[in-house]
Amino acid sequence: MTDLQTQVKELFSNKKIDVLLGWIVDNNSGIQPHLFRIQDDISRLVFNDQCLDNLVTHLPTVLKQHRKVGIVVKGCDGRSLITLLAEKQFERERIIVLAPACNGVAANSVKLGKCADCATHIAPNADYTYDDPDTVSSPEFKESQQIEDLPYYKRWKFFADHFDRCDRCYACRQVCPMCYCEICIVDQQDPQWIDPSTKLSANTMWHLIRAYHLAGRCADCGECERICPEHIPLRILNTSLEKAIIEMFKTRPGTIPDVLPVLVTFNKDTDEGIMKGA
Amino acid sequence: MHMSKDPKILAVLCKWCSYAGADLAGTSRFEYPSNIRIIQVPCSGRIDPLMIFKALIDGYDGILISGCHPGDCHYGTGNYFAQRRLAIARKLLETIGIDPKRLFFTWISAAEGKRFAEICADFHDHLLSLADSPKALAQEGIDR
Amino acid sequence: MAKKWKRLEKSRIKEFLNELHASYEIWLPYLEEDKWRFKEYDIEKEIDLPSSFVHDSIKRLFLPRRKRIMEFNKHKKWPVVPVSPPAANRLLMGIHACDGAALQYLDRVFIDSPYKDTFYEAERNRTVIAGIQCDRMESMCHCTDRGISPEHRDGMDIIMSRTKNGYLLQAITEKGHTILNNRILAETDEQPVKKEWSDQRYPLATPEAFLESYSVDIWRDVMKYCLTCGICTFGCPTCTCFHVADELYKNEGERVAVWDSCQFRSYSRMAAGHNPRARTFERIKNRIMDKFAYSFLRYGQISCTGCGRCVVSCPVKCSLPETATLISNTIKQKKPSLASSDAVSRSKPEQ
Repeated sequence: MTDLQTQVKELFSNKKIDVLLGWIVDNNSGIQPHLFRIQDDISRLVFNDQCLDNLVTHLPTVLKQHRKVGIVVKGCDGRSLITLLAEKQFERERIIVLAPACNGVAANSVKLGKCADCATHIAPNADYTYDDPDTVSSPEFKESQQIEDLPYYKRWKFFADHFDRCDRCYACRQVCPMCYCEICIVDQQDPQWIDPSTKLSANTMWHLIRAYHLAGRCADCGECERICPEHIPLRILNTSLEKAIIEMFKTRPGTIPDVLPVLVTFNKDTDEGIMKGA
Repeated sequence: MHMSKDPKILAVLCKWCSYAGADLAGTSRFEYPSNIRIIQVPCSGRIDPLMIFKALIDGYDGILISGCHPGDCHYGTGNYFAQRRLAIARKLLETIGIDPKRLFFTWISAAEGKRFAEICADFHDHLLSLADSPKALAQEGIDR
Repeated sequence: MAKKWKRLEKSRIKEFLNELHASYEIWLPYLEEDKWRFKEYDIEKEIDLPSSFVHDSIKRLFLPRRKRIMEFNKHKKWPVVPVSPPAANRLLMGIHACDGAALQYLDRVFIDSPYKDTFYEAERNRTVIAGIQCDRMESMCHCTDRGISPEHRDGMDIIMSRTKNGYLLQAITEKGHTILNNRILAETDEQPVKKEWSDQRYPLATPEAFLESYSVDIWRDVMKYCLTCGICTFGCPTCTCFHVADELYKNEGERVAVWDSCQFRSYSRMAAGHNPRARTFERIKNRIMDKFAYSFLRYGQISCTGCGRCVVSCPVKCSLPETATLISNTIKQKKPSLASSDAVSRSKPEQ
């Protein structure tokens, strides 16, 4: 039994948690999310570089049915958890956060792009941590840097080709832990802010508005890009805003507990350099 | 959005300061380009970047947003939120390849009629010098 | 005596298609980055027909993602101008039995029902379908558990089978005969090799039995990680939900039909705000019941042909066929609710 498994068994027997959101290994389907209960075989709980999902997305639903929930989080998942807590989506006391060190995850043996930009190899503000992470490097944001090296008309061509293929399945929205609006703006029909069809202008609107609504809140867990059936490079949009926020406000979303996202706060005392180039 | 001699500008002005400033420009007979359509909002803090994106899709070449000076907001703090939001909106436009200078944000008070006219004229000239915005983003008509 | 087949040499397939290209729009699957997608015939690209699973949904070619229905214009005093459906002849080559059976289901919904969809009918009428038999079943395939097999011919005008250095073809309908009446094809005595196909991967209860499962507790415990993203409904060749919207631009506008999904939370939200399927398990239950019970009652065919696209596209690896089998087993064995058994873990359900 690993330390993580032992701890989970203990939490169950001490009734500290009712259920645990973690990953299970299955012979047929590989590694998947699973809601462990006390009677389950905890030796099937795993944590390794194939644990791709962000379990925080499922947390609010699970919290509706169970009083105390344990959750295993990677560093990026932990960042989204901190923002959800800052936005008061649920109480910290109801969850137990287990944070094993994560040195990156890989799909088909290829390390995911988001891992090169990650500076939180262990989720902050966790109740229990396991192992030591490798040394943390500063974020590169390679993908959005590539876009910044292009002239404007080439940037638009790049995005237009991608947005054109968007099927508006909204999987990006569904998998995102920060998209929890009861009624999403794109589902509003009275008035209809965003056309529901897949013409380029409507798809562009959808992606711009989603990126904008996530600005300052997106934790760069990368799930949106990973599950997009059309392989649209969504992380470029979100990380370009994350870079801007780091430059302007010297803070990275989801890294400091109890700090509200930058777009819902303001600072009276300085003009924050924003009006330059207005 | 074409390289036209008449760039279309959407001006979104806050009711208490900037719109009053525009009114003053009118009553004082200061001239400014006529291709500006003005929308009044209660406060610059009400402005949702969705309006900006929609304006670009509807074919506007530039968007001028103005609110009260910091400290003078009728609702206290609306303009502080606005300045952060619009900075991020501009960055997003820049990422997808729309010149961020098409979004102009400033503070205009109710007494600054002349300044309003000057800003409009400068913005108009400035837009003439920018290259075409991506045509595909502007929906010229229904999607045949 | 078995009906004769015609033979197309692999080396002459482009010659054959080039000739047809003069009078037919041609669509076939091309392999791009390990995924088979339907694309228009490209004279430059090599032709290779898929031997099994195709990722792209065939639905796209008959029920477009965005379909213009009518347009209107204020300056013309708002008369409504219906948009004409396309008319050019089209050849669709390389679909499998699961998609052929799916087209049969779609015909029942959009042509044989009281509310005919003239666009769909036009697309069907203008298309000649040359389906190809699969060489093998992949892990996600389960057409044999849905009443068909990889050699099934329904919904097709021509049936093809891969053979050494070429393809065998046989016409099923008049449209198919017209295409195969070509000197490049030679009649042959060769017959496709008969294969044994396994079933019982995802066995299913009868539609009547499914109706009995309406109130069992197990619905609350299946597919727990489902995000209701809708990717499964978009790939599914028999999912037909659509939404109609008017898109206005200044003084003109158009009415479009776009894909919708019963898995979206707002799908059943009503004007006053009430939503009878606000919860995830309610939407999952509705979809499964519709596919395996309600469709049969309405149209005489279950709306699943075992193509497996839902299994492959699910981002959290839920398995809809596995769930349907689990429900089927529950009905058969009258098992109590999952929560009290250790079947919560992801083991395969017992047969």
